[in-house]
Amino acid sequence: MHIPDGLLIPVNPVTHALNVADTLVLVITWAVTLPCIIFAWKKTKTTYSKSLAGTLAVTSALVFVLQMLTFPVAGGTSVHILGGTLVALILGPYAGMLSMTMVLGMQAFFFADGGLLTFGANALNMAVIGSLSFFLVKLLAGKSVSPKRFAFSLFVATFAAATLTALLTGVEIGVSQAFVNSGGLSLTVPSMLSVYTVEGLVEATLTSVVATALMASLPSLQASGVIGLRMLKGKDLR
Amino acid sequence: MKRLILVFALTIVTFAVLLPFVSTTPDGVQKLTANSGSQRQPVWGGLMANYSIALGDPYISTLVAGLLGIGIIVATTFALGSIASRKKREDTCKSI
Repeated sequence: MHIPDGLLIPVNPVTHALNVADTLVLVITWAVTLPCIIFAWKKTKTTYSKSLAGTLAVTSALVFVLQMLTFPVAGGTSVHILGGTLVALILGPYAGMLSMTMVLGMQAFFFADGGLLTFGANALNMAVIGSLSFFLVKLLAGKSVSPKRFAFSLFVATFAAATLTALLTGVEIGVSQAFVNSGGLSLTVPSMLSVYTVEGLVEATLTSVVATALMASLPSLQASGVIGLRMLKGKDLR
Repeated sequence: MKRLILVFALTIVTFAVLLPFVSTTPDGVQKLTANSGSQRQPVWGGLMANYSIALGDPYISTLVAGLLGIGIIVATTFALGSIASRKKREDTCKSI
């Protein structure tokens, strides 16, 4: 899912011509992602009054591990859990976005998993979309206390986030110079969607099960701070 | 805090146990890139590319790289979280 460095390149290394589509994708994705991250940081500083450090650190480690544990889907392709919705449920959408962004940043810098130039695109696809799915859960679950409706809302939101991530990734790489001669969007979008539909189903099931279990034990978790779930229920964070 | 440490310990144990079973086939983007035949020119190669450091045994290499990654992430995000909540405490003091 991570777009590697060099896949989207502003200038063709051989002809030195400007790759207009690649440049546009890089510029647009950075331009959307940066304000989102800055907004998330500001909201985190003002909204979260309890010490966030421990939960943020452990949740980020959990996402990093989840993303390393790749599993096969049909056609000799591997996928990993994206984790954005789960993280947003634990940390809330703002600190969740920061957590995902930090993990993606470390993956790119230390492990070349996702590029540095393409970091804007990867952060948009996984950190921003994943965190925004929190609001879809909120919208679908409403004020209902039904665990079934909560689980269903989570399932739909997680699956929607995975699908949108796959679609965006497919579009971003599909318009690039790299796929001009091999089919472009008509190759990349169906390919990404087919693989990540399977991943989305797995992730949606996992997220629903984990978060419903967390929700069931919410009263005893209030002190230890499953912040996202408390925000979802409109509870004061102080 | 106890619960957080427990979750963290479980995360590391799960990682170490499941690591030998992870899939080694390429992911969606990698496969598409390989099939397109286009040449990539990375601007940055990473410090431990492919989650591996030269330690001979592939399991140990990836395990150590992964544990280093976990350490780096815990340290940086803990620092970030501390900064976010420290600012808040200062604000609270001022408002009092």
